[in-house]
Amino acid sequence: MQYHRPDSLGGALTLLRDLGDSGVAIAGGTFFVPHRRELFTDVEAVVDLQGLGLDYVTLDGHALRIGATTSLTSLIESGALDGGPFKVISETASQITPLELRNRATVGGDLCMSAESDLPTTLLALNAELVIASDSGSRTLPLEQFYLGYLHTALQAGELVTEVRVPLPASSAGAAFYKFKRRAIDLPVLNAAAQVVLDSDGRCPSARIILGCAAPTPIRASSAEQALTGSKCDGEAVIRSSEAAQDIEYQEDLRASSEVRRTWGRVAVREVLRKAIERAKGGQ
Amino acid sequence: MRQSVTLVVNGLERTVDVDTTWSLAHVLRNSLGLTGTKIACDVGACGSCTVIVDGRAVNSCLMLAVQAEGQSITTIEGLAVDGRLHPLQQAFIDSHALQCGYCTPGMLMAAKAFLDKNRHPTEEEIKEAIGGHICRCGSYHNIVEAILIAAKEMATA
Repeated sequence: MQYHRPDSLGGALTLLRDLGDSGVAIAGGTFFVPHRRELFTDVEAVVDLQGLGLDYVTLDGHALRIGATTSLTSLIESGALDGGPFKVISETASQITPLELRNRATVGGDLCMSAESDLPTTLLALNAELVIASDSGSRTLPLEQFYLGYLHTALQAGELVTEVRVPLPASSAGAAFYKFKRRAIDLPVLNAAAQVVLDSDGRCPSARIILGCAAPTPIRASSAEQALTGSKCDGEAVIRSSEAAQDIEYQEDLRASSEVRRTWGRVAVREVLRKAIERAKGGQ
Repeated sequence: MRQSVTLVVNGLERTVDVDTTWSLAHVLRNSLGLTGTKIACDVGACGSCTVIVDGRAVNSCLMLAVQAEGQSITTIEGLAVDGRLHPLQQAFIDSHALQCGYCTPGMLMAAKAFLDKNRHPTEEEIKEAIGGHICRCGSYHNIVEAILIAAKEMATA
């Protein structure tokens, strides 16, 4: 296996173009390294992205921008998320355990390789988009169009996620995240995130409710969103919406039955809505 | 494929010829002879192989050795200075915080990285900091106690 550590994005993209399917990009390495002898046996070269300068978190008037190789710890410690509308991202990253993993795992890697993780759920609720670069240019793609199946994304050979952009939410919006796991360092068995916008009457003109690990990819809980949208955001609406989240076809695997996930899906949606609405009322 | 990599291990620059697929944990133990770092699960699930890389605790089994080029690594062998035990090591002995000892190097390195940033931790914060570490002997209670004692010692030193 060849190991490359380019010092420019252009250099990395040329390498990835030339390597095609025989090359893989890594940053923290926390997914590639433990799986290198099972899932990556045909990989002939790795391209280490840690020298590209994609480790940043910036906040301007319109959006939050997170460089793809920002570690989860750097994301949390950047301070850019503290107290503002994006604190839910920091809260979500903090629940990815253990600490040793957060110190190495990167935002881009988590989004690209982790079908069972937490950041995709929250970033989908916040309507994030990805900047994807290749040797022939770059494109932006809504995160919602990124996940095609279990460990299967819209990323083409030679392409690289370089940045996550999260639009600044309306001032009357609130967001929250909630997860179920079995033990302290487990992957989530099920998680949920929501962003709820309130109008001056306390009604909800729009809401995004996402469930992670309910299906092979994170999904929108459309029925739950519809049950909330247009109605007054009181306790009754929250219960109605969380019950509507039960109509999803929950997946079954060794970690939980579909029935357990259905129950937890209802509870997780209830919890994120309560918190998101409370935050929307308090202006976050 | 073989490649030369230079690491700064416990303050000393070490250049070794490694296979690019080898983990940092493997190279520390097999190329550098630093067998204090333990490998148990080799997939980032137990914390045994924890070392400090550029100030942060990491699982050395989850990182290729070549990725650590030029980085500063502290292993359990670098914890005692001039033959004097680190307060954490002394506290682990005093509190009987180990039985078989296999998890101990990883526990100590995680605790060191944690206390370097937080000199006045709560019990809850300590539990979170070592949450990725498995002690099959079940000495958790004494481990947490030892870290609390070491924190007090280090705060007053």
